[in-house]
Amino acid sequence: MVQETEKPSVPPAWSIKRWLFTTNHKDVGILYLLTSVFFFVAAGWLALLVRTQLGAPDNAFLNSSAYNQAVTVHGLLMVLWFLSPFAIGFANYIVPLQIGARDLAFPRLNALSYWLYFFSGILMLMSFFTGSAPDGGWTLYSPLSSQRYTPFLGLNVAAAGIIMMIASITVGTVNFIVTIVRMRAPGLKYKHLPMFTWAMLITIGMMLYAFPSLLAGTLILFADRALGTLYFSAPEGGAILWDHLFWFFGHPEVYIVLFPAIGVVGDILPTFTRRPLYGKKYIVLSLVAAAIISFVVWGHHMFITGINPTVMKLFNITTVAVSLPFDVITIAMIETLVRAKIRLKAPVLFAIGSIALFVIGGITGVFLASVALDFQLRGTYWVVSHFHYVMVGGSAMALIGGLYYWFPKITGRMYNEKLAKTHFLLSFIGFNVLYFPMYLLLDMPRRIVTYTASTGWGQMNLLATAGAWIFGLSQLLMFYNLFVSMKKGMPAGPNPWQASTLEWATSSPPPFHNFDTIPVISEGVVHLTNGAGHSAALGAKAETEHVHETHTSTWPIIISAAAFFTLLGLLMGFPVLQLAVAFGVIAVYGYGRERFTVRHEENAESWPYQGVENVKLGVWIFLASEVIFFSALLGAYIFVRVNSATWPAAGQILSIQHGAVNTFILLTSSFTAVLALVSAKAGSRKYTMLSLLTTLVLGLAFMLNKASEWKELIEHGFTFNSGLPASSYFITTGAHGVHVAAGLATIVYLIIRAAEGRYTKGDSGTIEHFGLYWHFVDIVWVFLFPLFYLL
Amino acid sequence: MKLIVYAGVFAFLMATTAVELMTIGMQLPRNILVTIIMSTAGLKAVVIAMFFQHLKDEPKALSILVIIPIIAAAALIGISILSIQPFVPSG
Amino acid sequence: MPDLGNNILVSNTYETFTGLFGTFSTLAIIVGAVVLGLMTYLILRYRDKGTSTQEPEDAPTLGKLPAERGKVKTIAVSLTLSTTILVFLVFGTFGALDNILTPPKDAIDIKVTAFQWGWKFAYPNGYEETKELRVPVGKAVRLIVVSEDVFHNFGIYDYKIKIDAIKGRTNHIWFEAKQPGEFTIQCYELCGIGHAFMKAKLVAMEPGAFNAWYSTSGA
Ligand code: HEM
Ligand SMILES: [Cu+2]
Ligand SMILES: [Cu+2]
Repeated sequence: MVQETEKPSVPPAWSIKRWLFTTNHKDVGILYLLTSVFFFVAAGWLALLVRTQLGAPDNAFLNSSAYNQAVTVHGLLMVLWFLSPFAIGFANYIVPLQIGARDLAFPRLNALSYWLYFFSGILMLMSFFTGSAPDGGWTLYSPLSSQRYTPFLGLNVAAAGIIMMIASITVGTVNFIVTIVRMRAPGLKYKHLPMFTWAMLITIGMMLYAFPSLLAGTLILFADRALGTLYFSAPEGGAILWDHLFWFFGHPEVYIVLFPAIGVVGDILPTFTRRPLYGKKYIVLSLVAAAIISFVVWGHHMFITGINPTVMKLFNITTVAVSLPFDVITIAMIETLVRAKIRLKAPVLFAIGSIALFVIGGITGVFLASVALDFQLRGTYWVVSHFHYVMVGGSAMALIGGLYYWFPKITGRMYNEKLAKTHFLLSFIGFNVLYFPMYLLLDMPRRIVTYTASTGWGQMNLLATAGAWIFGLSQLLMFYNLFVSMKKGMPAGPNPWQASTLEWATSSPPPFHNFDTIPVISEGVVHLTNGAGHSAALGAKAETEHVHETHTSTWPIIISAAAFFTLLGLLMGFPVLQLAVAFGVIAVYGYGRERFTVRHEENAESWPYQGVENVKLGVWIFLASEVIFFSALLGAYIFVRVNSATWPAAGQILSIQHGAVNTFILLTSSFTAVLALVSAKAGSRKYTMLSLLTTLVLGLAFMLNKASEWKELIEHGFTFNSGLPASSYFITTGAHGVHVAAGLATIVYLIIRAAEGRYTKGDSGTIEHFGLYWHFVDIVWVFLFPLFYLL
Repeated sequence: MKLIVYAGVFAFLMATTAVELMTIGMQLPRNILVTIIMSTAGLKAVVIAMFFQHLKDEPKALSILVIIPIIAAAALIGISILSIQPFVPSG
Repeated sequence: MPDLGNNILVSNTYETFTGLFGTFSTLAIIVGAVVLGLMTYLILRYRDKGTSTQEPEDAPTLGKLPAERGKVKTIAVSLTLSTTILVFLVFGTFGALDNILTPPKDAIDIKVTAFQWGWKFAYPNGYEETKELRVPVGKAVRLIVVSEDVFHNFGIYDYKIKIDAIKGRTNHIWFEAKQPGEFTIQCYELCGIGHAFMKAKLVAMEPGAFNAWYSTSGA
């Protein structure tokens, strides 16, 4: 337990400073919600443009280029910048409350996630002003996305935005897993977790393992475009490689956007039907099963790329199998209604509506799972309709229900029920008018700017366009309602819905520290007691004294800004890049040195990671994502290599000697990193410093050797764009080299701190954490070396 | 953990690297060579993880955290390679 | 029923698709109707009519963990039902798939090259053209589909068949025209600004007419 004297308290809610520097989970949650809603409006506007264009045959409202940009950015924004962050906004606000914690495990990292997300969105939007926004579809298929066929800076900027978005997500996953796993209130076992927290835990788990594949893909895309490497444009499987990397991420991603919604529905249903969720255990098991299977179904997006028929059938079976857990989930949710007493308020209307739409979307997904039918349905409006039924119907509708559900908690005021019901009715009808006709357009290709009247598609398209406007405009009702109610709504009180989960056990909005005393759960009852064992009334607003933690930090936003300019700098070169990197190093250093106190509850539930403290667990979670990242990079290399008819033999181009020397250097540096830990534990500052210094020198030697090797190779015409062997070599060793460089920067920091007397007084944790990372980088090289140099 | 254990692990890593380097000079059939080299690399990785990263002494749940992505990655690499086998229908 | 054309059997692929699609649709409509019907019924039946203030016994209460409920039996029954349906559909699919993937031995090979933004058709006799793909009725045609530049997708919408055209790969698809007529070939994968207009015409001809045309065309 850390107890520090109080910092000046948080700036008030009306000050800009509060919102720029806050690290409190509820503030950050609100920022996430507002920002994601902004992207929802932006992406929705693009959708309306698209639908307006398609409303009539031979329409010329948008030209091809504008249309393609609108369609593409609409998809990217909705999936990456609206649906997930919207859910993460709720998760930020609600999850700590539901598990009885005071904040997330790493509040500053949480702010960092948000600001990375914020700036990534700016990059994405900036792409409109740098030639052309991405226009090859949200799936960014290659080789259309290569420099040759899309010669606009805009796609580079957008790719940078995606990379930054993934950085934000990775930081977020670390934070949420540690929080949910290790910071549950005493007695709050997994089986007691509310559905929303469960769903978020599983969602975050999928994010952890899915996004690195997209990161690898996007980095390669970025390198292809900015540096001239030729991975994805190579006829030796480049296009298919992108498909694999993208959809390995892409399919889990569609569940990533869905599961939080299932969680929201799972919390709303019991509250408004007045019955506990039916078969919650089976719902959770189903989610876990679907999450696992979701990693082996990606091939259904590649059914007709000419893949091996056995693999086709395999993917057909896994895809059909993954629909079974959803069957269980829907059935359980419907069973919940039996002998219930359903109060048909807006949140539950949206929840039930979303189940109904999900049923339709799921069933039509089974059509697509059939590889034989996919030979027709692929690339048509059937697919468009399918995924909008699940993503907008199943996911967005439920999340909107969640917004109504938690609005009283977040603002302390009630929204206008009548308006909300009208909103539901209009959006539900609008939705079906919009998307149902698309099932009937199962011949119409997706993403075409226009069609001729002779196709006969005009009527259904007109209907869909009308529906789009109904659906779109109906959202204004919600904005109006919530905006007005925020100030003028009836006071909500702590628990307006008579819900049972912990977020309702504190005032609305909750105090900064959430609970005056951390709740304790035993024998099915929640006790909100203070240390003396005296029971405080549920939801009572008592301003008891509590340990003061830090709630603001200036660094997250600064680091994110630096990252933003670094990525731009990669495209603009000197001096932006150099300045931004320098700025970033200073910011990270400042972050590292900042005194930031977080309170850890000693008796929180933390199975199965009792002995593993938060930071160490966090580092391991991060490394787990890195496993996928580097595997995807190495996999990409193996893939193109297997696809290539010829490949230079070992020793022919890459010098085995160079590689071997670097292997010995890196292995030795791992050993000295271990020695640093041993010395720190033994309390010897001298040997700690000495070992760190040796590690630093070895790391530098590795980098120098690498640099001279690159230089030699490039001088001999083995350059980024001289073929796949070169492209794959430079990208893979480059990514590894960046990791080494980051490690070296960390060592410098460690040496400075060690010189100040840190780490040797039983606080060697940081050195250990650095070691975990450093050894991991070493392990990567252990595979890289034979794969590139020896085989 | 004892310093001697770390030193032993370090010696082992150096030795296996030397073995890798020797193996490639041996004119082995390609699939055998690939198997040997990649198994050695795998072994080295496991040893580093177990001893240098102390997974040996940590709760199993921590190892599971990194074993899951290894399985997932194996699926990605394995299936993507399988999928490319050229398919030419009869006729 | 979705638009399945004019119900004339235009090709064997049309037949394969509509047959399977019909099976899927029938089951989908039954399952969908049952599930949505049940939901509607339950909502109407159990909505809070405001007639009493009595709450269900296990109603959620703040400060109490909700009771676990749910019978394995209900779940198992519904799982068994859907598994049965799905297995049935998978078998149907695999049957149709074998048909889609396996052209008869005597099929005519025509090479289709996709490019930004059009199609090139090359016949065994060396004749090439870009506007029309002419095929004889009653004879299997195997298309060998490649791309010159980006990712395209060759589709004939009345025939309910398509295949990706990817640079560096050679993909195959086959069909047999059953009725003479003209049909639209279109690209189904976004391939740049000309995508929507990347079309060609498929002309299915009586064998006699086809042979006459073929023997006078090209080489
Ligand atoms: C019952 C479960 C489901 C099955 C069997 C299923 C099946 C499929 C299949 C086979 C495709 C590929 C179609 C094609 O491109 O030819 C597809 C596309 C898609 N599905 Fe699903 N799906 C299911 C649920 C979901 C859910 C829950 C979501 C999202 C919340 C979703 C989102 C998508 C998206 C976004 C695409 C299209 C991606 C693109 O090409 O742009 N699906 N689905
Ligand atoms: Cu999918
Ligand atoms: Cu196209």
